[in-house]
Amino acid sequence: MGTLGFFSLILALFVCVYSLLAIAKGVRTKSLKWIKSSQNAVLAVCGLVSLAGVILIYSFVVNDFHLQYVAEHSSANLSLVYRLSAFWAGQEGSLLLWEWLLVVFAGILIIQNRRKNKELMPYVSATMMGISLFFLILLIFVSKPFQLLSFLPSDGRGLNPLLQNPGMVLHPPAVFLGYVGFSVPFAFAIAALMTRKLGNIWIISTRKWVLFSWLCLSVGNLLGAQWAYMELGWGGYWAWDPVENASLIPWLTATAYLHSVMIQERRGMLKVWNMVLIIITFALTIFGTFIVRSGILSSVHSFALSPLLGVLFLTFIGLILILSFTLLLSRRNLLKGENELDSLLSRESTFLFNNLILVGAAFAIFWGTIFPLISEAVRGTKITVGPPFYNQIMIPIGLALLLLTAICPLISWRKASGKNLRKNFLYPFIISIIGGVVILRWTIQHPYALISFVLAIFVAATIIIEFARGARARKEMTKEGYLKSFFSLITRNKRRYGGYIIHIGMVCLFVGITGSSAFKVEKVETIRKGESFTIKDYQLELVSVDSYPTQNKYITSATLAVYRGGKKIGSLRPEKNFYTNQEQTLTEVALRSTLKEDLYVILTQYSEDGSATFKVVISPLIMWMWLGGVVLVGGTILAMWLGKREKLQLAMHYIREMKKGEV
Amino acid sequence: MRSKRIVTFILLFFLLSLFIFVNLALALTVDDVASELICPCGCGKMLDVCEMESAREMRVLIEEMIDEGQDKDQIINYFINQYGEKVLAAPGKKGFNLIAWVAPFLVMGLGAGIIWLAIAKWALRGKFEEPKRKNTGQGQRDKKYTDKLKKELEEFKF
Repeated sequence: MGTLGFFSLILALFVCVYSLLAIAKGVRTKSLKWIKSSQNAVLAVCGLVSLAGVILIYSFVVNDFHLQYVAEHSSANLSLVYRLSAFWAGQEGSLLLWEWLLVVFAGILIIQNRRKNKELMPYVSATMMGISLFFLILLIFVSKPFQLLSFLPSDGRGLNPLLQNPGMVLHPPAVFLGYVGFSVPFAFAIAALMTRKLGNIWIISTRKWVLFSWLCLSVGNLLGAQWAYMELGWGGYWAWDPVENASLIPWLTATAYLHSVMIQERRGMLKVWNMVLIIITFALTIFGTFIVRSGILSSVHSFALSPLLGVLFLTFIGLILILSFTLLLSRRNLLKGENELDSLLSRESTFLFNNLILVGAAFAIFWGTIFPLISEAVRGTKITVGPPFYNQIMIPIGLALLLLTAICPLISWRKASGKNLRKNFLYPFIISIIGGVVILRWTIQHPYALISFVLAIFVAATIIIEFARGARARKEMTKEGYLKSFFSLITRNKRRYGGYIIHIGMVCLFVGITGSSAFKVEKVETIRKGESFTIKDYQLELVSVDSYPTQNKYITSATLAVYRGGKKIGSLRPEKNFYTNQEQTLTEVALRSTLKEDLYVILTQYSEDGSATFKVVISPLIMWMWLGGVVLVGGTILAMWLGKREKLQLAMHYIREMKKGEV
Repeated sequence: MRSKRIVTFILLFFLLSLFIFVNLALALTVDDVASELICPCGCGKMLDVCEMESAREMRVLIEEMIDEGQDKDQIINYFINQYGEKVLAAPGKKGFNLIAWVAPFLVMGLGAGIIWLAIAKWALRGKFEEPKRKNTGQGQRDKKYTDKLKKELEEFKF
């Protein structure tokens, strides 16, 4: 089967090259026949790579240890779910997943655009196939998922125990869906530049793709944070590791793009800037893959150390940037804005500052991530840029962003009047000040936390008042009840209110991040059976320590009774497990989660005499982070699935843009 | 005289308690030092949260050094001599490393300046000039129709 997989990749490479040649011929000779043939070739590449993907999945399912990749990342005693997730546990599988998603997206684009975007599509396909060609070359010559072993091992090495976690089953595909998804707006942007169709058509055509990719990247980052929280056993969720940073940076630039593109749609401005943002976002997704796969920076995600792969990725990123920006420069005269800003106090200008902060944050993280390399190149000294750097740099940036989250959506377009400012911000301002006074007694020693909570209240108040105002206006207009008015307000304006809901999700995230980082309490205690210790208002008593073997690990589990105010509120069972295949010991966290705080217990050590050492962390408000993630997902899905009225608006916009193109 | 002495005593007591309190509050802890260092075993975790044996040993060493009366800088310098500059969790704010700290704010400041100037320029131009309309040919078309309407109205007679 492995040989079949390898040959399907080789065939895909040839068909991919053919599709590029057919597009070139079709565009040059304006021949529909060649264009049609190239589209069929794209679909064929999609089929062939899918075949390779399915073969690799099948090899994992049937434990085909003849394949080196399967033998290195799976074992017979691994459960089916983890055997399937082992597909992306290593470099070769991850790259195959990248390529698979890319060609599936390319195929979907061909089907989606059968009757529209006829001029753009050949260039879109060419861009997608160009990227595909790079990954196929990697999969065939450098990082081979179908490499066969010269012998048949009786069992595989097994999956890295750290990756045996539900979060890790979903985190990589979610990040990859996000990464690869941004290749679609990038391909449309390149097509728009090539065809000189530089209006809003490419933006309207990729709206759902951008939201989908942004959603996947958001979910991927949050799942990654959840995994780190549950698996790495240090009570935190974000270590500012190069690999974590690598997926946060494109998320930030994509968020900037999502905002600035609204100005282009509404006022025909920032056309060059939007192009720059989407090119940078796509290049950063490749940079993300490069950081993970090159092993150039030391990371907790120490999957691979492949200098050749690093060089190839770097060359590819260089090519993308040089070609895209050269093309952009050659079209700069056609990208002039249709309007100019009228006032410093307008939605457009606050959006510009929002973009500045988001891109600035992306730059700060990028800079911190690559600075060790710069230091080594210039001074020859290896240094570390870790959490203290990012915390100091990112806290003020994050707070500024939170402030703009409140201001941007509610300030008037073109020019805000004093009346507009008073109407939208007076009550939220008063509410946030009152809120600040109420929480002062808990936050007096944490000024950043105080500012963050006050700003969170301010943002939440602006949004809630905006919802209430809209629902009331609708009730007066339609004479419906409040609740019905509220729901029809949202369903009739999904784009707008979806955006507000995403902002509420972000507020929850900020509350969670602030609470869990400013007010975290930690304690390390060693106790024997029957003994107890206290942390904050919790009392933990060691009931027992049990050891027993399972299929692939030897478990040592401690049972702790948890008391609060003298009353038993539950039990926790932290574990320390020895994975026999990998000869590796890992901790399994025990967690008691509430909206107020998480009680997080790790069994760090145990001895023959029955004593056990526990690290206990109390992380206030951390649940709000995960809750914020759920709200964010809900808001994005709402903004993606438009109602009839909004679809019609968008279609009218598309037609207007088409007509403009004809003029 | 006696009351003066009492006041002095109370003041001295207050100052002494303050001194003790401040000292207690500022007493160097293992976490104060460990939160500025990276575990050098290659796990990539901060020293204050890493559970590897080498990290535990380093924390014990830090505790011993604090007990010996060494201050934070002395302890950190000891570890820099042992493991090199990369043991620091963040680059120092001096020399070449200062660039790491300054660059993000410099870039953002520069960006903010450019945006501010651009908006101010546009807004100012908007005050003195007729608002720029996009040249879609609408004006010319309007003029054409207005002229035609005017002409037809003039020609129109009952």
